[in-house]
Amino acid sequence: MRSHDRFVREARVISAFFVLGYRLAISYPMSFAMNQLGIVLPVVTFYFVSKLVPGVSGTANGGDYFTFVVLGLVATNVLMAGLQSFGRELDLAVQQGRFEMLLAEPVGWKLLPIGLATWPAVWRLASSASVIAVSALMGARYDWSGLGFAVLIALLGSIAGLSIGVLSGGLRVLSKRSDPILALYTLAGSVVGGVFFPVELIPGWLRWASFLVPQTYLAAGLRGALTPATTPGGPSVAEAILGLACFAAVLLPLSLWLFERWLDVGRRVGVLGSY
Amino acid sequence: MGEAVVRAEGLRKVFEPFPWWLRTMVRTAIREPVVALDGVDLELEAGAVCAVIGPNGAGKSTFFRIVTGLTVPTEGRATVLGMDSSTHSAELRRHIGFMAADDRSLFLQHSCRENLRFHGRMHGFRGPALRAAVDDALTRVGLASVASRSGFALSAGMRARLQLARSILHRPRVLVLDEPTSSVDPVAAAELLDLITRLADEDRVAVLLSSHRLEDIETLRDHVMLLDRGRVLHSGPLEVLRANWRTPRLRLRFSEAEAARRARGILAARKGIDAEPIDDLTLDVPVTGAPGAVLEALDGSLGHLESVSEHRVSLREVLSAITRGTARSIEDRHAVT
Repeated sequence: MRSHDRFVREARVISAFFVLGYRLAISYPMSFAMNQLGIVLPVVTFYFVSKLVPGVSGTANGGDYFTFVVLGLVATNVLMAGLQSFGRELDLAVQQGRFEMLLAEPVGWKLLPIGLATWPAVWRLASSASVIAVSALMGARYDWSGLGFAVLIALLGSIAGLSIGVLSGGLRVLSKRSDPILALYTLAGSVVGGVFFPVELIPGWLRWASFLVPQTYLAAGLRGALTPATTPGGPSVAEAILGLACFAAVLLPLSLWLFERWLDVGRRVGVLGSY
Repeated sequence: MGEAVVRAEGLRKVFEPFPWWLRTMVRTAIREPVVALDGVDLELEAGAVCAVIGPNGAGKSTFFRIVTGLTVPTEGRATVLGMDSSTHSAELRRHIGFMAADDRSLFLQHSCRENLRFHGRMHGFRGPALRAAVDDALTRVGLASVASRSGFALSAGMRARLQLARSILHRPRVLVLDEPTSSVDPVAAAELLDLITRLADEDRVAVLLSSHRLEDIETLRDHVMLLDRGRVLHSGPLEVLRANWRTPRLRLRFSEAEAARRARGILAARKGIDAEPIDDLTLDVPVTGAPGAVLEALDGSLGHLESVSEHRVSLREVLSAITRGTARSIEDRHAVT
């Protein structure tokens, strides 16, 4: 019963952060609208680029480049939803002088990353859905029977991204600006994650690295769930779900634990709240 | 004597230069260890107000951060309601109302009510209880009539009140107020301090507050802790601080510089009084007995005495004298550290 009460209480704290994030976002309507546009607009760009690319090398069952790359973008967007949300919110809270007040609230510090990331992550997921909807209107071919799996994969991918984001953001509490984890991850993910091209095209000696980043599972899983095309050499839908679930199950508790440890270091060194 | 709600025992905090691995990401702010607090003891009961005063860098904010669990001491311990601030930070934050020095800690885009609703939710309030707590806090600080106004539309004084409302919303046992009057005008500051004093009385809240405004401290009645470079120079009632440091003084103004010089010599020779020249014509004379005895001793110089006034020592002078007098020894000690 106590753990149930605790769960309910923590859920309320997270929902309070969600409402707060939403209200802050709509306080700046133009910025809110432009951010939304910035997520959807690349679909138009890739629509025209796809006219130059008749098919996707390495895919089977009639995959077209437009659908392929849109789902790659969605995968990146979903992952970035978790990956960047906390770091950005943390930066804002520190720069605007609110971080120390948040630390003084009577909630476990492990809840702060989740709370701060909830609104932007949910908003990014919703934006990703709008990207798929817009691309469908522009001719992308989706198999809607796999929508349920796609939603599950997106949620797991977002949690995996959040885990890496918490690792990165937690270190930012100490390092203030430099963000080695996010920088390294973004670099690695963009090269080996199979977003813009299938992992099948990556040389064999480097392909193993693609299975160490959630992007690979996310992109392949979304493509497998939403299109009839398959990517030889890439993970299947089931493997993608399993892979992302493993990332989420291992990385999230680990990153939250490390976040608390880094805050403890900050308490000792005396850098919490400064910038 | 009641039981102490806040207790600090031998608190010492030494900030070290960042370790090498952290310096790869951010430049260290200090090159040598800095003693921010050194042997701070304090006991604060329910309903008592303690003003923590001192110049910049005295250690006030570090002390507050340790009490609220946001920094851990190098030595000693701080407890709130018996809970160690280092090890029970999350629990004790339920009982503390914290007000940061910076009013940016508010969500200025949001209304007063929305600011408090978020904070109330963090404390587990919801539904009618949340609404009641928010309305009550706004009423108590006098902001009920502007509850729907955004933070940006509030004056500095109102923002300070909103911060205070946030810190009292959950009915804490301890209020930690870091320079609550720093951004408001003197009238608003006096009103805010009245409010804080009233809260301490009515709710039996133990209040720790810091301020640079000496007139603020003058209006508080309880405990004063004077910090300078981490050391407690005084801890006790304000009047004791004043009485211990200086005796009452007479200010004598003469019509001629020669008369002032002669009077100074006479006071030293006859009464053993070391009168301090303010300028060529004016002497500042400490009085240990009856003021008449000083005038009686002057005798032949009285013809040149233009005016006599009692000089009440201001808190500013007391603090300046104390901090001037101790600066050198503290610097020496820190150099050794």
